[in-house]
Amino acid sequence: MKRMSKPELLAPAGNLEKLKFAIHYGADAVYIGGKQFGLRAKAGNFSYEDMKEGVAFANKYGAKVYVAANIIAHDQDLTGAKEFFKNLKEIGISAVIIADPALIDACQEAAPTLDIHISTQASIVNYRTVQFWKEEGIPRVVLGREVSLEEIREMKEKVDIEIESFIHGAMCISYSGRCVLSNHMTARDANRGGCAQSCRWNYDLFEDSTNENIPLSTENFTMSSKDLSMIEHIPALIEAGVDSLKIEGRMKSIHYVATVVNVYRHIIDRYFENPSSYSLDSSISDEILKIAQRSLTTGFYFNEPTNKDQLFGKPDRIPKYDFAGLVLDYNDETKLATVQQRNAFKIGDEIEFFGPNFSNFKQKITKIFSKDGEPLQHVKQPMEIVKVEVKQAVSHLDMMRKRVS
Amino acid sequence: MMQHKYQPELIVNARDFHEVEMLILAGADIIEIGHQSFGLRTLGDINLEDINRATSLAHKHGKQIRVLVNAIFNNSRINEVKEYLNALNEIRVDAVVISDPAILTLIKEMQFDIPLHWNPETLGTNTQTLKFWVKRGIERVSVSNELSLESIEKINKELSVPIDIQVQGMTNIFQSKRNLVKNYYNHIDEALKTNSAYYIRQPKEEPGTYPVYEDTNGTHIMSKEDLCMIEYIPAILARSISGLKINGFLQSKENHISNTKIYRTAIDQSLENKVIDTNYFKKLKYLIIKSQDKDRSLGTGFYFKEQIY
Repeated sequence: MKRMSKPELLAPAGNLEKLKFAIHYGADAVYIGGKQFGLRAKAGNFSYEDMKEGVAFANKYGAKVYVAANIIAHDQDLTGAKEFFKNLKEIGISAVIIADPALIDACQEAAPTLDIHISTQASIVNYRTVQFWKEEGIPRVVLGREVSLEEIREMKEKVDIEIESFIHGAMCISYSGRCVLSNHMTARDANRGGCAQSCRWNYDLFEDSTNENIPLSTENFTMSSKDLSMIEHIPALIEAGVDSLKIEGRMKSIHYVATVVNVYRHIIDRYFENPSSYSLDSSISDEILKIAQRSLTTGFYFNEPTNKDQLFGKPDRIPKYDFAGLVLDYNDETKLATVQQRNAFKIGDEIEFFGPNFSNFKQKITKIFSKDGEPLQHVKQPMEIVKVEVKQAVSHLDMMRKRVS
Repeated sequence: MMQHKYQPELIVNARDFHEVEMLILAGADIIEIGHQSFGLRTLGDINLEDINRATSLAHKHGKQIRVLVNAIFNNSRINEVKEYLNALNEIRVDAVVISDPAILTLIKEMQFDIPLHWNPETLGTNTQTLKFWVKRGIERVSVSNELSLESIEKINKELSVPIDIQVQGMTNIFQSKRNLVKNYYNHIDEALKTNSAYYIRQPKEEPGTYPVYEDTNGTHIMSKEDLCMIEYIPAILARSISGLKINGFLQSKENHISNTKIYRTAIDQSLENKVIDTNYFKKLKYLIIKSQDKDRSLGTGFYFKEQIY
């Protein structure tokens, strides 16, 4: 058997709070966006001050922070790029994720010791392209979505480079970066962070271009992919040699990020405890369904996706859980948890507490007290801090979720 | 700064040998051909034998043949690509169009001297990016269609190699490796019509459709409008832009050849006359409109359009 070291678990962090949760729940590294050059214009994104705090937090856990600077720039967007990379290096960012060679040039010139990872937007899908980037001094490539596990194995055999590959989350249905639907349909530039997700819209399909023709079917033509989930195949990815397992979703909630990170952290650690006897526990797959927003698929890893890997018609019914509260503190004598409300809850609600390392347990809400010790029936005010009676010990930064549909 | 002598060239794609012949007579300077196994959105599948014939013919007329080798290749295709490049090198085609640095390294490794043209579709949007590729051996570049004429002018001024822009026909706006049309037909349990384009539009959207089709490279969606920059040819030439491309996708041979002649006239007129007669170019536009598919409008794409992000 080949020598295997634990791959990196890489999580998205749309803002500072998400960064802290991702790392606290077990991410080895997070990727964030700065105020410029990132593709998630609508995510909170990080000021330099936020980045400093994020890096300081990550350092305590031995975790790394990467910055996605993955736009396909126009000339006027490149102003300030060199200063940006220089600042990132000084702040202690471990690497930048870049798609546009113009930004590679800027980074290599301004911050030669800052590692560059080539973004999935560059659609790297063969070993010769991987080799090209290796020779350009690039230590890591993020592969295109259109690569199979077998192809990754071959790339790792042929090229000595780190490979980062997505394991969970939403996917472009196109080759990432090779789509300007949004530009054409809404004048929003997809490759500069303005993507309107036009590929997720409903269309009519015609077999003839004459406008008055009726669509082929009443069922809309859609191009949406199910979301990627490699929850059942982490050992295969590790054995193929993937160095970094990447979770998508800088726009996702902290509940989502914490849950997904927790699940994959658990899987990686259990597998390495004893690879030969590892198997996936069904409670783990159930956990991932609690935050799933769409049905799930394994994308291109095992075969070319078919209609079964796409979404048509009404969305599949997926149980929905709300993030009800965040545990700030716990008193072992009173068995009361101090909880910050994130979504309404009340006496009698079935809730579930969870924290890092799968300390999950379910209970009914029996007692709630206000800050001043007054008994409460429900907690409606956002961010209100209350005390909740708990059946088991909980910890700071554990979460409380509630099924809502 | 520009180092090449300015000479505008009309670049036109062709679906078969016969069309290559006709386009040469119609005044095309560079004919772009290929096969879907190696090229993206080639107008037809032209085999090596015909590429050879086309090249000989073009050279006889002082014209050039460039071959599209710009598909997105997975591991298993690399050896076939090498063989293909070897064949193109023997044929002495004038250039190959690529978009994957893998091909760049293959050409170097095989020590071929075929000129390499870079067409990264949506990814060629700024000067520095294109300079990056020029430094690595690219001799000519296509800039993305989603740029303003102003941005293109700036890129062209700063680049040491010729650049190509599209002036006529539909543009590609999406590519997926998946078979999205086949998947849809499977989903609704209908039989797929073979070898034709389909059309999509949002329900209740204003008239006009986006052509969508599948080939060995996956699914391609094309623009709703056809670019038509005929009136702006003098403006484009005034900016010393080298390559003016016409895409004949979903055009009949007859229209494609006719449009080529019209652009040839426009370029020649612009070069010969210092004073531009705008009425003359309006007449040329009228000729294009006359043969244009009634369901497809003509437009100027992003050349004069602002985008937000």
